[in-house]
Amino acid sequence: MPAKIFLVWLLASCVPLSGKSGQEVGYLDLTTAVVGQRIHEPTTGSGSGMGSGAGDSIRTRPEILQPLRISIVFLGSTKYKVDDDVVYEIKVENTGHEQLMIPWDPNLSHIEPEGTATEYSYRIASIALRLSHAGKRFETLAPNLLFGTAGVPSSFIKIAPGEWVRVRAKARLSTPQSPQPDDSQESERSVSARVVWTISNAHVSRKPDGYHEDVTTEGPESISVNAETFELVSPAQSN
Amino acid sequence: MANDLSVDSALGQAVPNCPTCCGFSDYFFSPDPIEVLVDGLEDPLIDGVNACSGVIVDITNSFTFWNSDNASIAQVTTRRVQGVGVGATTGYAEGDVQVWGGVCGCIFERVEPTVPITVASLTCTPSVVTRGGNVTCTVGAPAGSTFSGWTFTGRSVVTSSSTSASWSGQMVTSGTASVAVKLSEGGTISPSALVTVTNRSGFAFPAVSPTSESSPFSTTGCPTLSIPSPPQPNLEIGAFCALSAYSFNFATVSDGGPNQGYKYITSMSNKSGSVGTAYYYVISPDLLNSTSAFSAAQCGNYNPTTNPNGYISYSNLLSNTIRHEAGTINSHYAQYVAAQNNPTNNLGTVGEQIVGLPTDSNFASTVQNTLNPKVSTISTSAESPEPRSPNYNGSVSPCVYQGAVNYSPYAACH
Repeated sequence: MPAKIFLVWLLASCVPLSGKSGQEVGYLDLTTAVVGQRIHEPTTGSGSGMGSGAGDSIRTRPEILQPLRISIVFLGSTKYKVDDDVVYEIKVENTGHEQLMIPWDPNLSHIEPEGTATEYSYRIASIALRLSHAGKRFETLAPNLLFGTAGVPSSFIKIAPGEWVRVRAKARLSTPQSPQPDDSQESERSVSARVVWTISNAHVSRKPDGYHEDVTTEGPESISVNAETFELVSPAQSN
Repeated sequence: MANDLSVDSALGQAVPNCPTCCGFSDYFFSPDPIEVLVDGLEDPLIDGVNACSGVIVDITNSFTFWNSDNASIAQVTTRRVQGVGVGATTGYAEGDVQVWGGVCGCIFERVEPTVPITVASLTCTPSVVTRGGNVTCTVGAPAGSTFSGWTFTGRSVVTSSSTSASWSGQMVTSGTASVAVKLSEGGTISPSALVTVTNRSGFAFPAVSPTSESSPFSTTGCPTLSIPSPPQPNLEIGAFCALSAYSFNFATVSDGGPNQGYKYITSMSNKSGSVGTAYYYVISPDLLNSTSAFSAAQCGNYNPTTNPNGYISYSNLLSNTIRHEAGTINSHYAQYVAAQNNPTNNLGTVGEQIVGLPTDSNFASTVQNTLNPKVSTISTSAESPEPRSPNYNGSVSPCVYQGAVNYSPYAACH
């Protein structure tokens, strides 16, 4: 095969690889997003969740509702102290065989009905950093929430198999249970951070005394396949 | 003061000159007036005005007797005023200070400056309240006082435009209430009071008892627990699932009181919909059947000295397998119990203490974000570390090895 023809054939055959599958389809920077006040804040509500640990002779695991692969792309710094904002970026990849829709609007007010509403529903994607030290979990930082509702199609993003989105977020490292740097021994503690991704369904209904919200976690949480580490330092050391 | 002697030329006698003395033209308490809280302290000075220069100087040391007109309102001692009870009184001090004596020089004069003292208080009743209980904070101040700027400072700040002498409401988080009191004599004082919120009892989730099921077993929230028949090496002869479920109801404090806008959990359950917290385990059907080929192959010919490669007995393997999955020690169940009874993991205990800020408009998610990691901790704690295998009697310490498991194809027992 002449070299030119081979080159044209090679380029043509590569097009599908750089086409729809295997590409980034969205990016959100929640560190700069301005989150407005929600319109119908509930005065009462409920929630639920569950999880299980199982072992020994297990044949099948519970079905994973969303075949997502969560990974931490980067952590903003290698050192943080309590009350710092931990900045992180995650990649959410569809590893399944069907298109997925995930909530994509950080402003709940964008998807709430205006004026008095009888009832409405929406979905919540919760992104949180779960910290551990010496193999023991000690804190999950305040989550970043994304919202979506069927009535506002733009509040979801579609991710085809092999595609992914990235989300940049931050969370305040204000942790009463944090392992404190021990001045007499060592001034730093290595903290491992993983991202936990959870999908919930919320239903809001109007009651005589205000809005009532029921939130139910959908399926098991997804935990990032990788962990990033940072040093938890004392305030004086970080200056 | 100078006090020189000089010679009067006319009389030829030595007589004293007039001393050069200014004395004090005025004397007063500083501060004036004094506002103090009940049990609060104020350390006033007494200043004097130099009659010549007008300079104000501290002459507190000249005063040796201090008191108040009403010790049940304020106790006045040297350089100190302590609030005792709500009301108004007058404090005073007595001392000898130099004043201009007229024709020639200063004289010491006993003086008694006075100062109005107002004592106010803020009392929150009860000062310690169980989460969800009510508290009333009441100002104590002399008649004619006005009130503004009611503020609660806790994890966030709550303010009220009320001008009432009291502020009450449901409390879910600890903090300090304060109010600005404008007194009729013109001064302002800001009493404050701490309110401590304690946890409610009865929220802790109890550890559930283990439930024996038949293999294969499947239920919502658990993987299928299935033991191959006959049992296979590297796949244990029992299985378990520690299922932790929860649900909760929450409310927002909406009474205009000190905790206005805070959210808290009003009730909790160890169920999520129709799924309840449970600990399931299954044992190999072959092992449960004493007449199965697998059970018969567990011939108990192990002897640590004469036959260290021998097999465990059927009865020991059955009891050890049950112990491994559901025993009270050396078991997955024991690990589940220890983890879920730990107050830092217990879903009910942790949930009871979750309080949402007034700015938290997604409190249900906040609760789930707090409790889900606890579910995960309980689950993984039940899974690992792996308790002593069924080859061991794990009910004694140290555990005792009792022989190998004879898997199919079964070896003959000798």
